[in-house]
Amino acid sequence: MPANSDSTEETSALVRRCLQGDGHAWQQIVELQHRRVYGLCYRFTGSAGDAEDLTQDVFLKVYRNLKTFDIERGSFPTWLTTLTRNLLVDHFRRTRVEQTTHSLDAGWEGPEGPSSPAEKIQTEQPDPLQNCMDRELQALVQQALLQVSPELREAVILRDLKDMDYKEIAEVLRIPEGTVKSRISRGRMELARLLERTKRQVM
Amino acid sequence: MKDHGQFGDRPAGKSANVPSDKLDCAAVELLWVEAAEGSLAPTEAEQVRAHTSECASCREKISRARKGREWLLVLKMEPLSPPSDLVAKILARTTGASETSHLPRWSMPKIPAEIDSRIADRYSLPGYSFPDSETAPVPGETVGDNRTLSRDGIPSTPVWQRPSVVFLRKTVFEPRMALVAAMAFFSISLTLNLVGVKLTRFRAADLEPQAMRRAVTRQYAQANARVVHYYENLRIVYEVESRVHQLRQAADSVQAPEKTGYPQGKRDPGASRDGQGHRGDRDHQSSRDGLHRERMEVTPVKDQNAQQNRSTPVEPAPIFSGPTIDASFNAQPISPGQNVVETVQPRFVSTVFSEFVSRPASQASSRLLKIARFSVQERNSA
Repeated sequence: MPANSDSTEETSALVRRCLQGDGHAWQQIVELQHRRVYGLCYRFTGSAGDAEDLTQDVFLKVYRNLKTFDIERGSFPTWLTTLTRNLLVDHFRRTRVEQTTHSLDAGWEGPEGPSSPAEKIQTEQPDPLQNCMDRELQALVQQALLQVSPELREAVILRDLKDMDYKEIAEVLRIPEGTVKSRISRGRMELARLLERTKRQVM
Repeated sequence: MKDHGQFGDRPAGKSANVPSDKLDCAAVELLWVEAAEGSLAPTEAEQVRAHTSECASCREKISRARKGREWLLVLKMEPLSPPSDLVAKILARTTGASETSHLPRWSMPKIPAEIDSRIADRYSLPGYSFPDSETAPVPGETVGDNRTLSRDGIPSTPVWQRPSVVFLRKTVFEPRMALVAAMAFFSISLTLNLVGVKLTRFRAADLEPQAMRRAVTRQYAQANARVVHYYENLRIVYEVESRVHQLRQAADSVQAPEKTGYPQGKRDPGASRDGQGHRGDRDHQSSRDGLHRERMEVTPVKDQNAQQNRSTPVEPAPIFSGPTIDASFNAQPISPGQNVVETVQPRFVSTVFSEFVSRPASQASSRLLKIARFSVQERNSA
């Protein structure tokens, strides 16, 4: 999320109101931020179900720990991202054993997007064929992204998918900025390498 | 990617080749990120360009990183929408269900039972598959998901989307978990069945070692009894045993004068034979003697015949009923001292053999063969 000053101000105000016990403010925060959290979780885990569960966990944690958040010291989105990232790392550690058998379940979780023909027509994409090809490609890239090692993956996701700047990423990941840059580069190269290999296998 | 390591692993020669006013590889590596994004400051871009024109390795890496970023941009284009009820779920979990009731947008109106059942009917029609919005988020706003459902003006959460069901589906009903559970269940129930444990009649007292041993013994005895019962009920076994018995009776009655009194001392023939070395068949012997005694009690006439035969051993009366053996006895009168079984043997064996051939081989038990063979050996040694 581009940290332009308007939205930062707005979020800070919301957090402040929320801390004063305004239920409606909390609702707005959830409304504003849940897409971002869900997106992060989905990109990192590659599973819609996991992403949904994790998003709920993140907001539960935020709700409980909101008092510890200091508005003066940091931006709320960065704090939220840090929380999300920590939960993702926990989740990754917990499910590492299952990762090896992941391919068994491939196909049980439907691909992203509308799955019935009727809904595919209903989506307002001009070209169904192009739409379909895009989806295939996106699924391919997502699959490759899951094979990138988690340290590189999180850096790449935060930079290229969430447009955070290096300083913020360094803050979230608690590593120096130089390392952040190095990880982003290595993550990108790794992804390109994986996808080149896939392309060779497909062709 | 061990070849694209951190800053230290570059060959020293390469950076030495680069003129000092230009950047070396380590310095350029710090700029890879921006170079791939195209967000370098003009002077830095110029420096990187100068370097990559000479350094093929850096050029390739930057172009690869750029490609990787392009792939990621493909992913970024993808509209990624969380499930429409996610916000409601989050709010329910954080602030409690009570607060969601006064939120008009995400509140779940109570559905009249009649409409509920109508929806259930519609979605339980065979062949109708409703896209699972759990796994397939619909692009666009919340309206997209409810479009199909709210034709009747009823937004609702289908059963399979409720958190508890989703949790079950993701853990217990996962295919491999279900498979494992089923396998475990079947193997356990099979084992229990085999051991004879009936869970409905299971008591804590059954776990005592004494009770367990008793149960096992009972199982074994039952199984054993069943097998023995089956075996003894085979017709061929019965027939052959009775023939052999009759033959032996006849032989004894022929040779009786040389031995001790046959009807009086029932153990005498067995004892004398045992003395000659057929110890292994002692149990057969005694059981057959028992049978013999029983028959004698039932048919005293035959016993009298045997008595008579003993006193006049020259003409043994044929006491068997089998036509083949009868015929053989009638054709060849047996003289005293002649071995009955040897005389009868060819016919007898052929009778038994034909019995065998006319039946499935599985019924020809080894015990049967043993009996036949034993009686012949017995006669020979006698």
